[in-house]
Amino acid sequence: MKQRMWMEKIIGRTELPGENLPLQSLVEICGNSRVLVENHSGVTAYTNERIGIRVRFGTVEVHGQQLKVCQMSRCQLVISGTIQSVHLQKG
Amino acid sequence: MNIWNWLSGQYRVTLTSADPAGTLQALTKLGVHVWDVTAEDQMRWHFTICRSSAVILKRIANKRGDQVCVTSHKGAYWSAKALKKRPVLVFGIALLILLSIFLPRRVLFIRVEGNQKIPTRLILQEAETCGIYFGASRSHVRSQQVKDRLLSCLPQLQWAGVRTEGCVAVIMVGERAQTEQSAPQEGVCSIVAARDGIIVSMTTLRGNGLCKPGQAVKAGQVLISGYTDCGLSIRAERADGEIFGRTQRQITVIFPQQCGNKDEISSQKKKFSLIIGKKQINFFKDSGISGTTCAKIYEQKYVTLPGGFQLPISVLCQTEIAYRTESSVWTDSEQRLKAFARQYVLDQTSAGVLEHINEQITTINGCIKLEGVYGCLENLGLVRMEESIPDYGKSD
Repeated sequence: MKQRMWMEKIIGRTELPGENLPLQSLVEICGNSRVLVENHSGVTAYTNERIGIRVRFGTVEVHGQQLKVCQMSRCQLVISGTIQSVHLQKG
Repeated sequence: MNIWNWLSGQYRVTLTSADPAGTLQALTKLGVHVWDVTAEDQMRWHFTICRSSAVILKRIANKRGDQVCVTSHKGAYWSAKALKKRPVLVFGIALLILLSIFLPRRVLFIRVEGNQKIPTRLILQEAETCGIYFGASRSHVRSQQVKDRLLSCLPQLQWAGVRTEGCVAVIMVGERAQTEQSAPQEGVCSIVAARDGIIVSMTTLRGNGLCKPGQAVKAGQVLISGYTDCGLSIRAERADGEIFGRTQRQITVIFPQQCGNKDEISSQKKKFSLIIGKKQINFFKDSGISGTTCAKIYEQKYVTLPGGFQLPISVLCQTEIAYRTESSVWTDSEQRLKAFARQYVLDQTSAGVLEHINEQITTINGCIKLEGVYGCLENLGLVRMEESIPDYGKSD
């Protein structure tokens, strides 16, 4: 935890990209048809219109139509479908 | 999903659980990859995993009290497993692959080009001794070796070579242009009478003339000798000259008065056969002998592959056409007979002309008979080679 705080401080001061932090969650949206979530902690909700994914700092909710989890592995989760919105909820 | 997962095989499973998301999370934590996750309802989810992860899924499902059901499977692994139940198909595919690798390296057909007088069979026989035969390796076909062998065994050839076009070995040959055999320019010869006659004119260009105009000669009698007695020695040379004489020829010609002409077609029949190499398979019952007078047309069509390769397989079509015949009488039979006889006599002479003609025509047993006596003026001389007199030494 302390180590992580120091690393965040260094990255903030040196303006390095934050992806380099280990286990840092990353949400990548490709157009309006694909969302990639890295370093997730599982699915919290799953319907055709809404998929919720737990991440380290909270929950990522993807809203849209005909949503589907294309791939799911330990580190990555890919959602496909017609994406309408992506919400980040802390906690 | 990548190509390796497809090759190793995949399961499409249905997970029935109170917390399917938790089961998936537990799976992914153990390194299992899932694809195409769809939620049927809150408790039933469908997804795809690879075949090797099925054991892990079962273990976790048993631990959590979930239910897992395999709905389908796909991938190259399952296709290959299904092929195991069809050994003949697998054998056929393997054989096809082996043949497609093996056959293009072998000579399967041999074609000879450029020969007109020399039989193809002879060339193929010699080529076989050089290693060009059915099933020979293409890499072992040596053009120079074949050429040397063919030229040494067949002196009628001027050049030869071999090339391969796919599975076909093409032997190209060029024949020597044959010049007319002229009379030997060496040796002693005399001119003798070709047939009995009376000499009309005689011109001696070389040699010793033994006859003179007005003399009757018999066939084989020496007219101009190649030997000339010079007193102390005998000079031998090639006799040359021109002798014309009167001869007589007698011939008898018989010609039919009636002849049969083809009328309309009475029947037409087609028979088919398959020829594979030298074997013929007939697709008709009888022996092929019609037993009636008819015209036969043979049509043979070879099976040709794209690219012009001709296989030794052909279809033979025999068409038998029977005609009705009607008899008719020659209207100008006498003129035909006379013209034929006179032309025949002229063809027998050497630079001859007909001087007088005596022809008698009679009718016997439905035929016309011509008995003719023809007096001709023709070249009587015939060259005959003489045996050389050996030289035993100088004479005193």
